[in-house]
Amino acid sequence: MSSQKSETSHYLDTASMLGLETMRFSTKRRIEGTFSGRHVARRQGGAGQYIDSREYSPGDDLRRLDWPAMGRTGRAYVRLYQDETNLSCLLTIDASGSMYFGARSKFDDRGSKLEWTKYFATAMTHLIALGRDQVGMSVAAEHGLQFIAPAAAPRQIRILQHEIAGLVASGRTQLGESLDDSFLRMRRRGVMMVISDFLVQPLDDVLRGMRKFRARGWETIAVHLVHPDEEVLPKGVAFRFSGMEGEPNVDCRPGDIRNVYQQRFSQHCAHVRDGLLGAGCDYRRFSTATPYLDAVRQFLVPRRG
Amino acid sequence: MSFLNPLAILIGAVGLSLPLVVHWLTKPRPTPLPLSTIWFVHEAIRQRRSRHRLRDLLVLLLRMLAIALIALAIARPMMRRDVVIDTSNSQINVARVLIVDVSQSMAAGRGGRQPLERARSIADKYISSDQDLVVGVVFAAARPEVVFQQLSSNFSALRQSIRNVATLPQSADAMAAINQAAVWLGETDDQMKRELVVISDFQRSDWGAVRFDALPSDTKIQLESVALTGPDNLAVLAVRTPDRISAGEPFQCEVELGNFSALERPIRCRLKLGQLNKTIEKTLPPGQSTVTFPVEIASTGWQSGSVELDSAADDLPADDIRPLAIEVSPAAKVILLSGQNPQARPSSSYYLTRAIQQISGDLADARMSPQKFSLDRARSADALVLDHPGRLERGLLKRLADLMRRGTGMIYFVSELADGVNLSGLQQELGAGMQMPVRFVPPARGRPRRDLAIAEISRRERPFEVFGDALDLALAPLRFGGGLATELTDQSLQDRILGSLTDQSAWLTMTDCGGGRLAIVNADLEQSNLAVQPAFLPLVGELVGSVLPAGGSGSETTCGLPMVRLLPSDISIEDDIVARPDEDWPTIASGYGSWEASGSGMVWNWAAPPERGVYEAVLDGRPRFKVAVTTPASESDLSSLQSGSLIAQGQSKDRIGFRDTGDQRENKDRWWNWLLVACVLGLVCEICTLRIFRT
Repeated sequence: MSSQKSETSHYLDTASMLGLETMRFSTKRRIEGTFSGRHVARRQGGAGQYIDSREYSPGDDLRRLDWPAMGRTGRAYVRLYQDETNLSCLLTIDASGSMYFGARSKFDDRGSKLEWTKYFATAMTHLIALGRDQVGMSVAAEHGLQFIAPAAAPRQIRILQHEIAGLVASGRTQLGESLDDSFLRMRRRGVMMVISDFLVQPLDDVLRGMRKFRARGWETIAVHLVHPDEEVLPKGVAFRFSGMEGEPNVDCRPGDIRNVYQQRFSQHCAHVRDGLLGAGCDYRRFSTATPYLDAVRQFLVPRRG
Repeated sequence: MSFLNPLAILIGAVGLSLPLVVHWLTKPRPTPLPLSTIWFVHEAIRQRRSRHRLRDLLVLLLRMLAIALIALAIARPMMRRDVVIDTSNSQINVARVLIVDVSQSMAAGRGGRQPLERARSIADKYISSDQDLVVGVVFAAARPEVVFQQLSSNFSALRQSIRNVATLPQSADAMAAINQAAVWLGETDDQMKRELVVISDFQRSDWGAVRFDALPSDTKIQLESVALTGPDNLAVLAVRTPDRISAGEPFQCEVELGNFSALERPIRCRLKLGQLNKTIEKTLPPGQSTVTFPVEIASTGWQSGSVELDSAADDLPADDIRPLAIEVSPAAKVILLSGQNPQARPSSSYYLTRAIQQISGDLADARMSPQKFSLDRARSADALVLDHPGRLERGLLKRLADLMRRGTGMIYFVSELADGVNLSGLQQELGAGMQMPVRFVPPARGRPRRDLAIAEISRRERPFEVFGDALDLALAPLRFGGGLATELTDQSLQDRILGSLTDQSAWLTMTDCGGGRLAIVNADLEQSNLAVQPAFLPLVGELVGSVLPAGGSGSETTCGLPMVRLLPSDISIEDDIVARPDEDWPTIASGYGSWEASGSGMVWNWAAPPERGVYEAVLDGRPRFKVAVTTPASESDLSSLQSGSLIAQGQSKDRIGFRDTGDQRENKDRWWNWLLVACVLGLVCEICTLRIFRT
């Protein structure tokens, strides 16, 4: 997949990403960053770029009074500056058992949704770090929630990519709990990107968590990952399907239920899409058949700043 | 219900597990596969599982049903009541009677095999030396014949007698055979098991009225049918000739033919009678038909021959020929016995004399006075006409009665009271041999008998039937007077009153008296206008014809039934008379009966003529009497009874079984066809089920 692997993660193919490095990840929302950056900050004033003046009102900081304008007009105006700050992006990755679907074997996750997620998330951390923005990670897994606070330091990024590479999918989906946990940890506005297959019952916990971020002014992005083999049942006479998140086994003939299954899956995808869009999320659905670089490109083109 | 191939049931039972095994073997082994969206599969299966389970169950049941039906079809079920006698149980004392039908219909064969041959093989199975068994064998013919006079364990002799038995040209007296079996079975010990086996074609005419009531109530009855399927038989059923055939007088010989098949059949019917040989070709429709041969024989005496039917081979060739014997008589001689003056004109005797001369052609010797009664002249006459004879002496009445017993016909014109007395005396002489329907009494005072018209007549009987549609026109102008009033006798045969007058008195009666016949006309021709009407001559002619002694087809008897025939009156017991077959027919080893003298003359008594043919009584090398021995026409109709009607005649349904071992068996047991149809329908249902539940 890559001819030149990074030192920290073999999921990072910098050579393939050279074309994408010019496209910086940005957001149109006003965010709250720790340092100065190229993103529009929510706060106005300070030493940012002048954008406008307005009449003075009591209580305004007298340091921002436009004295030359007052001298010319005799009326007090206050100069307004737009601060620019850095972006803080939190990647929430679903590491439930269902993300392992498509893997070659129990110990080889190649072809699985998790592998695709690792490539995609590694690429995103790389691109975000190139823009001097902070990126962190929250992993939703049954065995425990993992949280790495957003940071921009190269060392921090390597640690992050290392953690991504070491992700293991197992257990039931804990996406709702992970979002709640991240919401409590994150104080400043930023970008929340959830990468999941959203095979979670019920979906309401996830939507509620997304709405909380959205209510705080975060930009929420939902990357809905689908494996092609999930959309249709495999061809064959009979299968014993085993659940990947602890569900009981099922013996069946795919031919008997193929149509109904496809209907149910389509209904589920439509439900996820409607729910996330209703929660104010930027909804993106990708198939693992789509190369992750294409997905990154499709994602960045409308956002490049 | 029983099965022709019971082994197929066992194989079918094993085969029933085949769909289960196939279902288990072809049940797909599921491939393990992890699936992230398994709860969609759960939901889909919840929605579809009951439907698919129903489909699988239906398909499995239909397949099992198909195999069961195929097994049943191969097993060939027979739904009819079949066997009630177990021949394999050797532990029980059994008294068994076998009735084997040997009537002529058992000779009907197709493809070279007769029902009697099948009957032999069936009977052989019921005579088994393995059982503690006594057996009686009855051959059912016109008279039942037994092998031994009691039940026997001499099985070899019984088998040999069955092997040697042949069909007889007779019908079977089924009730007589069953009664014989009832006697044997009734004499057996109560500890013994009683069984009756009847092997026959169960021809409708022989077995239609049979009942098993005479048998002991615990008798098991096994009916073994060897009947043919769809019998296809042509036969000569009867030959009819006039009662009296006169030499030189043309007559019609009617031959009744039977076509007991469903199709028209071309035939050629040939009449051979003495030197006469005539043939008629015709297409015979199903049912009974009549062909008529116009015949005229110039010479008098007995004539014999046959009627033969030439056609393609039918089931029973034996009934395609029928022997025939007729007597050709000279012209009838009639004598008027009257006390009137022959010169008195007009008088009733004058009218009758003229009429008799016209009828017999004898112009000189037609009249005789009671006072000058000659027995020889009277014996030479075929019929006597009595008109105004006056009061007859007892001796004369006795002679007249004797003549009537021997076959001389008599017409009595009752015109006065003396005639009533004469008839009463004649009845006393004849005794029970004469039963007049009416008694003649003097007319009531003040009610003179004149201008009486005919009120009722029997149109279809002689002498009226010859008038046909002109009868009313001929009789309407007739007015009668004289005669006597009549009263019905206690044992009156009212159907012998052929005509009555408007005063309710009998006008014409007909009475059989021994070998002769008496016609009584209750009217005085002098006081009636009958003698001057056009109907007079034909009416007298028909009256004479109706009282003449019968000949022609009267000399026919049936095989197997007793024959008693009165020989001509001039033969006495001292004559050296010989009986023999006619030249065209074979001799019979058992003889031709015996001669016996009776009050009426010599009688030919033959207890049971065994073979058909023409047999004659010969005196001085000249045949004096011939008789045609024929087979009963009912034997030609080979249609057999259905099992249901026979079983219904048994007192208990559990004790009677009917098994068809004839060639009908193959055709009647059609259940297997329907089972195969049901099997195909089951497979169609399976396809429909799969289409309805298709995914």
